[in-house]
Amino acid sequence: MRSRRSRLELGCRIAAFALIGWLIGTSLFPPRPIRTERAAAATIAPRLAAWTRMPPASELHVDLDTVPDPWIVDWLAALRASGHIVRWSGSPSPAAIVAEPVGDPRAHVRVGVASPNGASVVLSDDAALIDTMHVASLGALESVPLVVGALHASVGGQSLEIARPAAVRSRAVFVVGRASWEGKYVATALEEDGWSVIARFAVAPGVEVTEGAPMLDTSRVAAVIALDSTVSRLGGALAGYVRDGGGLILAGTAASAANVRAVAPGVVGGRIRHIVQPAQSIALGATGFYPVTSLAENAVPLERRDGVVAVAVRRIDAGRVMQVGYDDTWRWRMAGAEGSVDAHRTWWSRVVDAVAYVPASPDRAQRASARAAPVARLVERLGPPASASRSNTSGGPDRRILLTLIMICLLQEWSSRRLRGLR
Amino acid sequence: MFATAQYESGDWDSAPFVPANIIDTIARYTEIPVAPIGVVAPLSEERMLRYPLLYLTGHLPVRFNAAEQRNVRRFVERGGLLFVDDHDHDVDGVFHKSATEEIARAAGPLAELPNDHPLYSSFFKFDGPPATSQELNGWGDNLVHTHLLAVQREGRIAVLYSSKDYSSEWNYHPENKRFLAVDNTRFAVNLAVYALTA
Amino acid sequence: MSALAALRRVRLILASGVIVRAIAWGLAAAGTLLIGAVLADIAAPLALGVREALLWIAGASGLCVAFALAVRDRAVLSARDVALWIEEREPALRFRLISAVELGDPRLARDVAPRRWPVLAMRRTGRALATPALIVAVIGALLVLLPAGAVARVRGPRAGDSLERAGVRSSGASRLEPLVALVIAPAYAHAAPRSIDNPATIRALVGSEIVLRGRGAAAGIFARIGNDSVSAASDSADRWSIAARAPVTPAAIELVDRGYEKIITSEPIHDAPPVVTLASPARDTVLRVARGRLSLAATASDDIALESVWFELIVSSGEGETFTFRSAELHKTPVHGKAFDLSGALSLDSLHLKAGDILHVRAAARDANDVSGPGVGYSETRAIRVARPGEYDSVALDAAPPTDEDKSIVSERMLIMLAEALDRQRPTLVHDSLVRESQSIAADQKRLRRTVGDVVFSRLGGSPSGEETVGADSPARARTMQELLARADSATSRAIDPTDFGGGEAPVIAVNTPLLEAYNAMWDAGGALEIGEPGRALPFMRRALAAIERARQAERVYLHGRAPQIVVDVGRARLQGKDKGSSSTRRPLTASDSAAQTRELRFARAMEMLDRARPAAIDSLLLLRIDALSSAPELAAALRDATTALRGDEARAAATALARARRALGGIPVARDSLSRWGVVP
Repeated sequence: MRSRRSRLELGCRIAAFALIGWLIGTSLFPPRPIRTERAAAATIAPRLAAWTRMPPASELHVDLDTVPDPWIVDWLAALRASGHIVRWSGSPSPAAIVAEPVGDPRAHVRVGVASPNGASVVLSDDAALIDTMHVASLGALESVPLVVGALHASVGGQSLEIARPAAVRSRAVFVVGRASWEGKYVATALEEDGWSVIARFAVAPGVEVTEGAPMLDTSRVAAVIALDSTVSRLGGALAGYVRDGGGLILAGTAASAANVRAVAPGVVGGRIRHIVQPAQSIALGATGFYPVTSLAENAVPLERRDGVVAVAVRRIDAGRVMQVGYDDTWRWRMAGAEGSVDAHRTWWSRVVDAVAYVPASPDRAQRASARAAPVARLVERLGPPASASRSNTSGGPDRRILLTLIMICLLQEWSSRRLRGLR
Repeated sequence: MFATAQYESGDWDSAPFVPANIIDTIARYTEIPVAPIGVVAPLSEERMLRYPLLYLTGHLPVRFNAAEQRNVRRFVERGGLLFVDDHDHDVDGVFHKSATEEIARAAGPLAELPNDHPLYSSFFKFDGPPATSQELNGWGDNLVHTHLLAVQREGRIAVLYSSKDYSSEWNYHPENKRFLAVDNTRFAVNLAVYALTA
Repeated sequence: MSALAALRRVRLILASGVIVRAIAWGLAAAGTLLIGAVLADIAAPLALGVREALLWIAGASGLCVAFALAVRDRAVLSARDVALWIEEREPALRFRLISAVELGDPRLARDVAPRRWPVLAMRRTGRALATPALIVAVIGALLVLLPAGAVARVRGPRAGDSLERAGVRSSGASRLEPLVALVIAPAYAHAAPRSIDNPATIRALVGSEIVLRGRGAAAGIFARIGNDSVSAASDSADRWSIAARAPVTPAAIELVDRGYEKIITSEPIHDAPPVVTLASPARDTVLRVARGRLSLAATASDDIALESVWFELIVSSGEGETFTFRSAELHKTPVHGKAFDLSGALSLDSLHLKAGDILHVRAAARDANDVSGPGVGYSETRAIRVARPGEYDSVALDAAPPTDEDKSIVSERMLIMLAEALDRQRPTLVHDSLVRESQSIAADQKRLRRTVGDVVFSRLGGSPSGEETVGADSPARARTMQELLARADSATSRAIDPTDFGGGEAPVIAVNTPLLEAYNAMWDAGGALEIGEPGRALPFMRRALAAIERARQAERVYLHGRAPQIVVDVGRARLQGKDKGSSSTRRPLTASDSAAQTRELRFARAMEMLDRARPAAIDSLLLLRIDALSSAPELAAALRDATTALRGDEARAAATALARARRALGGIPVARDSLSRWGVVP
């Protein structure tokens, strides 16, 4: 009967010879290889037809520095679906574009481009170049006043495209306050910019100057601008309007009114006063403002001045509330530097834009073209990127490992025999 | 803040009690915040733009210098309301001729303001510009002016011109208002409310 | 004829031949270039500048060729070379002629027979001239045979000659190409008529006549200008023309020939009124006595032409509610030209001015515009007032005493100098002397501080020296500027919010803020001086001086003084009126840029059309430009560049111009360099 050691030696010998035999066999009769093709992004298109005619289960690997055209990605996805092994590697710049209507009378479009920090984004449409933006954090935003056809963005050699969103019907802005220069010029600025204004200006007890029918309904009113504590006359309906998605701007001391205190982003602080010399032009906030203090938990400060918050916003359910510390922006319009009328008008329009009710865009899904987020679509169609250094030899274990195993088996068998005193 | 326009060429301060009287009237009928004293706004200085309602009067020729003309033009372009009253109450007078000429150069030509304009119903109801005792007494041009003149921009009054001599009519200390059966400064409230809300 | 005389004759013949040949070759070169230019112009129209350049090049080439040949053959001027030339052809001379020329001895050639020499020269000259003459003749013939208009375009290029250009034109082709516009300015402008080839835009002075001319019969060609339609008339057998008055506002001139259309923009140039500047009198003046002569001088200029310049006077007399006025025009002068300097004098005695009278003087000018004018321009007005007896007008008196601030400046500056001197002497002085001197300066500083305090408090409505009533060195001194300002403000007993002064910019505050700062600095300086520390006091003293200087700059003295200040008790009057007003309605404003929105839409439509119907898109942009000319000049300029570039197929220029047009339309986009859940506002 063989000892355990001799059985081990026999096993090692058999294993070594079996491995040697397999190696000789695979050398004499190699298995049919899996065909592997490699291509870079720029050279894919002319080779697609040839790849389509390749035998099934061929491996295709593409190196991508930019995402190829959507039809190429679709073709590769079809090859993958037909049984080929399609892999891609590389690091095309991850970027995406989105365009939403602003809801203002001039049908501005808010364009957002997500891209790596430090990138330059060239934005254009079917007509011409629009702007070049620099990305500081995550992406860039731009409010574009006029869009012809589709929007295009170029980021790090990556082309993005999205259709122009359909304009939404502009709704009115409800301005409420005492008869004052601020009220007059806020209403004027918004009307000059094309907004439809509903106004309530209190003149004397029971006497008002009115414009339009008062209503608090998101189907008709995009935002309410409260200029002072007379906003309390709108009662509790105002908070309900905000929760339904309406916008509310609390200027000056309006946030101290009882009916809006709960939805205000903060508390009205003591007015910070600045002295303006007679010869000075007046800029926004130059004469002072009411700081926003004790910010609510979800309030976001949008502007700081003199170390305190001058403008803050918060969301209340579907609506947005902005607290603006400035109570005399009219001085900026009237006594500002050249161009202050336009600046005042634009500023107020943008303030309203920030909180105005905009209905959900029904065509959002249709507009999201194949070029809106090319990298995301590439991953969706072809899967995540594979390693570029992946071996391109045919299947089976590595021969270096096999040789090592053979050597170990033979050495084991030889040393065992020598220890037993055999040769 | 009620502001009186100061110009270099004439007697801009010929009706010194009018500002106080108008301030008193605004306080008397409305809850509009108003400063207790008026200010003087030199038309040649940019700070005149800080007062969106300006009152200009006088007897002598009105000749704007370059800075005054430029500032008046900017004032109306930015949405201010310049109320000009002929203290001479004389359409053949030199104030009328020179002021209308200067207004035309700085802001555009004056045209008759219809008597159903919102100005006449912005607070009190008037059928047109209220008559003054100077007109009724036959002083000046011996006319009762049925219309005011105005330069309008975008449907708003930018310059309101009166030949009715409200400067004389309203030029008394506000304390004396108690002796009047009917307050003759009520039209000033309409003017202020219109300026503040139009 | 002697041999040397014959030699000279031969030289003359040969030299003439050389010159004529050089000229002929020059003409041939220039003519060849001209013919080449004519043929090129026939093949493809050459621009006016190119044709002008080619004409110059042809002339220069001819001159260069002629000069080069003349220089090359300059040997004919040498008697020795001519003698050699003869010796070469008359070997029998055996160098006698050359010897005679070189040695200057005519006897050596005494027995030669020079009769044949001129004949030889003539023959040689004839042979040399044959080729260039033939070429010049051919060129001349070609120039005659080529269409006269085509040659004329190259020979004498001028604006408006595109109609003269030769070219085969089929009967179905557009008669709107080529097109020439002749702009005839109104007579008062004294401007020569101006031709424009194939105009896209015609800028013409209002009142100008525009004549559009083209080739072909006039039948069926008409122009639409606004609502008007003008048919073409025949100028000659193959010329049509349409005459129209330049529109007063920007307009499109739409030319129609069967199915062909062409849009031309008419851009009016408005005659601006004259610009008048009154040089003398240079400023308003107050006179004690109205006597003597007043020098008057003014300059007037106009963009087109002036017609007359004069001075205007108004004399207002009276006071209170009673005024009388006299007016007159003076030194009215007819003018021919664009600018004029008017001067003259006014006798004040002749005006019989009385005390209190005011003389208003200004210069005026009328332009020669008899179409849409005349335009009248005025200078600023100067007021010359005659002082009333006993009137004390501080503004008019140069010798008036300095204002308080001026006095403060002088004194503070002196105190600083004293303190600096004391500080320099400090190491050499004993302590007691130093303290004594320092306290002496401190006393002056204290006096000055009280003066400034008086100025501050009197302006704020308080009693002078009111700040000192608690005691000269009261511990109640304000510690900060705000505190002192608030205290001073409360001293006025005006129960109003300081912001009611217009954001704190009321003149009273503006004047007093620096004075209060000076006051505080003086206090600190005084304290340091009291204890014998002039070095420590100096920074405060300098700060005080700077503040006083700022106060001086803020000060303004008005001719007419200030109106009495009545403080209304607003609180007491509030809502005490017997009558009650009623609510009213505010009218909505028209959006100031509703026109801009329409333009945006039109621009977007034109852009969408650009790929599929380029000419129509360009026409749309042209029409848009016409609308924008008066209200949006920046957009109009961008559209002009865009349409020009699009017509010339200059893609890069077109893209740049369209980007400019977009910005002019919609404004500069508002961008933010990070993603934010609150978008791009505020």
